[in-house]
Order: sequence, then structure tokens, then C-alpha cells
Amino acid sequence: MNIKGKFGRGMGGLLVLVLGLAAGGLIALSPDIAAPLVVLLLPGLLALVLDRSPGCGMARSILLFQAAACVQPAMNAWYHCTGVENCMDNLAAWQSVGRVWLAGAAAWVLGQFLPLGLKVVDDYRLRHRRFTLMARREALLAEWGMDGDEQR
Amino acid sequence: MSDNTFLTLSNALIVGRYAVDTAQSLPHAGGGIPAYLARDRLAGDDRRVAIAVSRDHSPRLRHLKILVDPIDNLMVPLGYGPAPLAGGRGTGYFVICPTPPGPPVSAAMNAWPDKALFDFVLAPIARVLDALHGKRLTHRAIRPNNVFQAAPGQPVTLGAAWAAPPAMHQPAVFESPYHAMCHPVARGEGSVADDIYALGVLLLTLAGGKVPMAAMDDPAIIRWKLDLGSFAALSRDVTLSSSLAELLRGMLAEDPDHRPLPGALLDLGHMRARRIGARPTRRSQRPLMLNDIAVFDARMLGFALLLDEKKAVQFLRNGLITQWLRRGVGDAGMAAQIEELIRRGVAEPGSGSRTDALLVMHTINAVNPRMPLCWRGVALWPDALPSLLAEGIAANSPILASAEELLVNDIAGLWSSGQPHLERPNGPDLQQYRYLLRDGGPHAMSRLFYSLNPLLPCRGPAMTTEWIMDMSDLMAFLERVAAHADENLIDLPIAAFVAARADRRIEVQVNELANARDADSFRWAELVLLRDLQSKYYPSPLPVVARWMAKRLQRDLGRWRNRPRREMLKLHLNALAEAGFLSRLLALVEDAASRALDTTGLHGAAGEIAGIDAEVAAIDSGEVVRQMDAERFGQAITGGIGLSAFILMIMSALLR
Repeated sequence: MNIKGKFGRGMGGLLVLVLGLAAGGLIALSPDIAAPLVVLLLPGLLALVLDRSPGCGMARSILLFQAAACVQPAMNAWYHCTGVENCMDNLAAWQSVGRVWLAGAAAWVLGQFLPLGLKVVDDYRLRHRRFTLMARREALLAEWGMDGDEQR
Repeated sequence: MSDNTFLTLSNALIVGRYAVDTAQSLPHAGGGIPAYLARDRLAGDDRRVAIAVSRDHSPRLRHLKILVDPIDNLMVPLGYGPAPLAGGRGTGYFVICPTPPGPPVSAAMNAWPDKALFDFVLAPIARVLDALHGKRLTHRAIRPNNVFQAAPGQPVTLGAAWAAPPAMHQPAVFESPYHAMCHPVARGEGSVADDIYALGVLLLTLAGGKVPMAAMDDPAIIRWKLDLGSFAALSRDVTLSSSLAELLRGMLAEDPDHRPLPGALLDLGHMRARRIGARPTRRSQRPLMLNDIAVFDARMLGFALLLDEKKAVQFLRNGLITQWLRRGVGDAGMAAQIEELIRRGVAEPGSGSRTDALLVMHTINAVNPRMPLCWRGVALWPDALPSLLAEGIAANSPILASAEELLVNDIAGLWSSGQPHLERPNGPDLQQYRYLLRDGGPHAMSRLFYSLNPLLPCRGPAMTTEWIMDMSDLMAFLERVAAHADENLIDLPIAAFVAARADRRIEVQVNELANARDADSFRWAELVLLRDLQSKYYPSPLPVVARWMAKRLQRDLGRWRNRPRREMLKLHLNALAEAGFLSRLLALVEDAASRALDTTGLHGAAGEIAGIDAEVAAIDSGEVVRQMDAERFGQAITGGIGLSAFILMIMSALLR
């Protein structure tokens, strides 16, 4: 657990580093695109700040979903807009913002419900396994006529 | 059963040829012992006599074995064995003899002339006794109701004497005082001289036409004989010719060595020339009163000491007897001998409660060496100990305690060491008695009883109408009673019988049974004993015993832990029981390979259950871990989906 925690914290630091470098590179190459992208990725970035779980799994998922949704608008902005204001109009339009933030929301919803589903499936599997084992146990007890002491 | 239906049962025949009809009694043929009609199937249903053997008194096995050839004027045994009683009253044991030629001479008592006595009584019986003497046998049952005559002028025939202990049914008057004073079953085989004595009394009876001393009781007869001498006591009221008187004086001599042998009786001329004068005994002028007996000589003193042991000890210890011997009889040597005995008895207290009895026994032996062994008021000859033991066990009387004491402490050995003149080549082996007592376990006396009386039946409960003599009989009996048996078939009394009559290996198993410490080890030892008895002595199936055994083995099947296998074994056991062979039942229960397989299976099952328990416990306690794992996996999958979508979007943007 300790090793996993350290690994998670390392991954979180790496992610921040990669994001920082990406953000720094983008600001250096194209500051007019970087500013609206911050707006588009704002929920993910906020989640990154607020997520205290090891590895920041939820924030990572939101950011990846939002990043995937940002690729098309960012490519359009890269070829069709100049200047911060124009790019802001182009990238931070409500349609784009809504789609990217919706992708982040979808990531959050998926991150909440997928573990629950997995748990439900695992519980069902184990309940079946337990029933099988107990049936076998009762059969053995009946066949060999053992009492509690002998089972031990 | 006047019809001959009893003849048709071949399994009811004695030695395969004699059928006994106990509905037809022959009251005079047995010499006082119950006798019945028997028929010989191999001789055209010729009539024979079946003399009944008592369950409590052993027949004379040695005589039955040796007397295989006919002897003129003697009812020799033709066969012996068990036979069913009429009316389904069980089984009896019989000795088959030829029928007597006529009624016993006691049926019509007349005074016989001397010539008839010599020719028709003395001569034929002397020849019989001579033949018996040649085989080292005695008769010991010569009395008027056991001597038969077809018609006047015919030689008499001597009856059977094989179905009861020697001289058991002899009236005291026909026995020398030293045998008459014994317990009836303890008179012993005696010698030919005792038969000569009884023949002498018979001649005297027939000469006088009446039994002498008939009005007296036994102690009075013995006292008269000891006091006056047998001839004088018996012939007081009889007028005898001088030749007969001379003959009878010799035949009734006090010293057995002075009595003629049977061969000498056939030559009366020789008898007249042979006259042995007995040395007169020393008598006191003044009697010694021991209770109501006036003792005048050492012979009477011995008898008086026998009759009252308490008084005898008192008189011995206060010196009255030795004083009387010195001053009255004038026998200082005997007095000194008795004083030495008293001194030795006081100095050697190791004999404990037997000190007084030993003192009396040795004193009687010293004052009259012809006296039998006298122990606590019972007189006996040591070779009759088996019969005395049987009598004690049958009557459950104090005689049993006396017999046990005699055997356990080898009293007969102590007594006979002072009786070198009583060497009897055919007497019982006293050392063998001691050996049996030492190794016989808790029922040693019962074992002794069965060992020493091989023709007497087992005395177990519910056997009172059976005649179970050997292991084969016993197994057949157990087969009959097993259906109603409760816990045990072989209890300790029956076990004693088995130990005595079976071989040494079976005896060892009986010892294990007797030494069983708890009910379960007793049960198992009993089952093993039954198995071995069937294997060794009874090859036929015993289905009823086997069913009983199968019930008793049910608890042993509990040692198999696998229930389906146990049920299968139970069915198999019941099927084997129907076949009736006990060894197969025990083999099934004792199957080591099957037991080992069961034990291995049990351990495997226990291990599997332990594994299941561990896994179930892990399932029950892993909720939190599984929750965390689900969250981690869920987020990882979500992240993976996001990453995949991101890469796809970039690829699609770059490749457009």
C-alpha cells in the first residue's frame, strides 16, 4: 500500500509536470490558443487541484476526456484563428465549451458508476462461489459424519 | 412309546446302533440306578438295558474304555452316549449293557445252601473279579440288587457298575468300614480286596437270607465293624457252616492284604490251607469318651476324631488323647508321635486356618494308617476328588469348599506322603490338579470340574435339559438359543467349560475373555472365541449365531466414517450373516485395508473442509479490499477509455 501510494504520488507529480510542460510549450508556441484551452479544460484542472486521491485518478480521467474533446476545436483554432480575442471567440464558444465540459462530466459520471458496477458484478460472483463452497462443505460433513471438533 | 418310532431316529442312536426308550423303565436292571429299555438296531432289535448317568456324578470312563470285550456273568458296557428323553424332556446320557438274565437276588431273599453259594455265586463272581483284576479294574458295586440270576441253579450275573462313581450306591454294610465312612461319591476305585469284601458280605447275606445289620444306621455299622471286626460284626445273627465261616473270615479281613485274591477263591482247598492270623489291636480297659463314642482302641479313635473335629482338636491340645494312649492303651510310641504332631502344628503357624484340620488329619493317619483322608469331617480317598468336586458343585454344598481347599493346598499330596502302602497306579495325577488350579483363572474350580469329569455336561444356564459334552454340542446349543440371547452367548461359567474341553489355543482365548477389563473387550473376546470355536469344531453354518453376531458387530461398523461405505458394509454384513460363517463376519469388520482407505478419505475430507472454511472466511472479510479494488479498477478503466479516446482523436486529426 505504501509503495502504491508513493507510486500514485509520483504519477500525480509526473502528470503535473507533463501538463505544466505541455501548457508552457503551448503558451510559448501559441499563447492565443492556450488561453481559451484553459477555459475549455477548466473543470479538469480544477479537479486536478481538488482531487486528493492517490494518482488523482478522477482528475486524470476528466482531463483525458476533456483533452479528447478539445482535439478537434484546437485543430480548427490552430488553422483558422489569430489573436487571443479571435481564438477566444472561436474556441470558447458555448458549443465547444459545452461539448468539452460535457465530456468531463461524462468522465466524472463514468468514474463514479464504473467501480460500483464492478463491485456489483464481483459481489455476485463471490456470492455464487460461497454458495458452491458451502454446499460442498455440507456434503462432506454429511458423507463423513464429522462434527465441529473434527472439522477443525 | 411302545411302538418303535423311537428306533427310526438315526441321530438318536448311541454309537449308531442303540436306541433308548425312556418311556419303558426297567426298575430292577440298574442295581438301584434308573434303567430303561434299549434296543440294538444291528441285532434285530434285541433288548438291552440303558442305565442312566446322573448329571452330577461322573460315570467310570476308564472302565467304559477298557471293557470292550464281553466277560461271562458280567453286564459289560456295550456303548455309552447321549440320547433323547421321551416326551421331548431333553437329553440324557446312558450306558448300554446286556439285559440281566433274571431278577436280582434281592427280589426273593432266601437262605442259600453252601453248595449253591459256592457254585452259583462265589465261583462266577470270582471269575469276573479275576478278569477285571487282570485288566487292573475293580467292580465296586457287588450288592444283592446288582446280582442277577435267571433261575435257581443258574450262575449269577454281576450287574453294571459303570454309570456312577465307584461304590456310590453301595450300602455301608457291603463296604469295609474305611470306605463306608467316606462320602458316597468319595469311596474311590479301591482295590480288588474291596470287591472281595463286598462279595463276602453278599455271601453272608445270601447264606442268612437277610442283609446283616439292616436295622442299623451307617455310623453304627461302621462303629460295630471297627469295634468287633467286620466278620464278627456281620455274622452275629447268622448261622454259618465252618467252611463258609472260614472263607468269609478271610474275605472280610480288616487288612486288605489279608483278603484272598479272586483266583484263590476258585480253589477252596487252597483257601482252607491259607489262614492268616491278624495281629490283635491293643485295647484299653477304660474307654475314652469322645462325644457319645466310647473309644477302646486306635481304630475307633481314628473314626471318633473324624466325626467331631472340634472336640478332636480340643482333646488333642489338652493332652487327653496322648494321656489315654499312654496310660489306657499302653502305646507310648504313638502318644509321642502325636505330641510331635501337635508341637509341629504350633511351631509352624504358616498353615493358618488349616492348622487344626491338618493336625486332625495327620493324627488320624498316625493312629490308624488304613483310614482314608479325613478333612474337616469329610472322609475320602484322594482318587475320588473329581467325583467329590462334582458333588460339591452340583449340590453347592460345603463339600465344594472342602474339595477346593484340598486341591488348592495339595492336602492329598501331604496326606499320601505318609501313605506309601496306598500307591495306586491308576489314581489321579494330583500335580495336574495343582497345575490346572494355578493356570485356571477365576473359574479354576469349574475348569477343574469339567477337566476331571469329561463325560459330565456343561452346567450353564438354560442347559438343564441338555447334555452338552463337547464343543460341537455347545455350538449346536448356541445355535438353538442365539435367537433369544441378549448381550452374551458365552458367559464365564460356559467359558470355563470351553477352557476345560477345548484345546490349549482356545483356552488362551478364554483367559482373555475372563480377564476382559470392560464390556467392549469382553464382547470382542467373546466374538473371536465363537469364531474360533466354529472354525475348529463346527464346520456347519450357524446362521442364527451369525445374525446375533452381526447385531453385536454393528457398533464396530461405526469405526468407518464414510456413511455410504458404512451402509454398504452393513448390508454386506447382514448378507454374510445369512450364510452362517462367523469368520467372514469378523473378517469384514477387521478389514485393515478398508479401514485405512476410510481413514485416508477422512483426512482428505477434513483438509478440503479446512480449505473451504478459509476461502469462505476470506470472502466474508474481504469487503473493504474489494471495494477499493473496484474503485481503482473503475478509475483505471475510465482513464483508459479517456486515453484511448484522446489518442484516437489525435490520430484522426493528424491523419485527416
